[in-house]
Amino acid sequence: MNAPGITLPVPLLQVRRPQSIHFSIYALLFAEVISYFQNRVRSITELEERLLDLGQEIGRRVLELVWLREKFSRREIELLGALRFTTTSVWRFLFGKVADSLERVKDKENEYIIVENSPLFTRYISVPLDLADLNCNAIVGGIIREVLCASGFPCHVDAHNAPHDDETEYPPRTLFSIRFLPESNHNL
Amino acid sequence: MSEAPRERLQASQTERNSSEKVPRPVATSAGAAANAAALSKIGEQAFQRGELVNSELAALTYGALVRQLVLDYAHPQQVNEQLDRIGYNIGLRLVDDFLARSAAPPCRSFAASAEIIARVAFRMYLGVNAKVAHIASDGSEYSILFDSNPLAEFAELPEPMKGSLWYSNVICGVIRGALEMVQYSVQARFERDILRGDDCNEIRVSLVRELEERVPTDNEI
Repeated sequence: MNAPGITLPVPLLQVRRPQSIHFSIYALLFAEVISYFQNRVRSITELEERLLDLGQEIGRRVLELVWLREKFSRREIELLGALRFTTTSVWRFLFGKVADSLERVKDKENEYIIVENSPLFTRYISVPLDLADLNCNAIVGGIIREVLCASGFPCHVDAHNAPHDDETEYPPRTLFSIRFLPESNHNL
Repeated sequence: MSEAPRERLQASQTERNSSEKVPRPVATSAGAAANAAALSKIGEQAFQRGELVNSELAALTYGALVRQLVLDYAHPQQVNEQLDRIGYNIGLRLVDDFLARSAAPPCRSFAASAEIIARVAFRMYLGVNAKVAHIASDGSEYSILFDSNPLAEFAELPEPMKGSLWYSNVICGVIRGALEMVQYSVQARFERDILRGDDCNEIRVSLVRELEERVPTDNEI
């Protein structure tokens, strides 16, 4: 049955069947991923870095997959195009919806913000008070970063908490601030 | 956060209402086939009711985790153990979710848990069909067989690990953790894995002992 070399069970392009798994098990898996790293780091910053790295591993593959499925014939060569691709196609792949907004930071040439009002990953993650700065959406930041970097737009991505107007609402809004490096401005 | 218990209560009430519509499983051995079909239906309904996420995202996340473990540990055997431990922690909590949402009938014996896990839990959480086979004559061991595995969607084992790494070992841990919470201490291990070139995935579950329910020693009483 198995020829030597690569054997894909189903050609990737043909996989159009709606495949899903239950959110509960995914949420628990993600919680375990965090606690696995938490036991192996010394600081919050380090934990976020590990999550970011993990997100990059995922992001690289997400980009390939989404591109293959949706934009088979063209590539984004403009920075804004790549950002829109991230907030629509990639977001739809990850969360089944588009991002809530994409904004450009005032007075800054190379900084953008993606706003996500109800981040899926952290819905069931409650962060203890002594780790209040921790935002586990760093993993999504990693995905965004690698999607953009691998598209040819090197950048840094940070995830920040931004509480809703009604502060009791959970999970808090998350802002992904994207800072492009100078070399990503191909058309300037 | 305070909304959560109320929501759960409502959810479980609606489930109870909806579960009255499904045919109740037949307990006799003659009705085993009908039983399995009814359980499959319960699993399917629970799956449809639940909130779903893209299974490919889950496959990629899980793959990234396994890759990290392979980097962190020297031997695939240790990776298997870690995956089992991670799964165990998931299972401890997942069983609550399962009892609250699945509307599955209670299992009165260890052997009965086999069908519940295979038909309802696998269907509900992973969206795959699984079946039970090779039940030991005393009912203390059984195998769960399933063909498609969403966790291993894009995975390929490198040649040196084909004999040692059980890629989806987390599932074994989940089964172990979940059954322990309902008073069955079990061992669960992969026997066959499609990633290794076998024709299907097989998890062997064997009963170690039944745990006794004890009143926890609590100083506050």
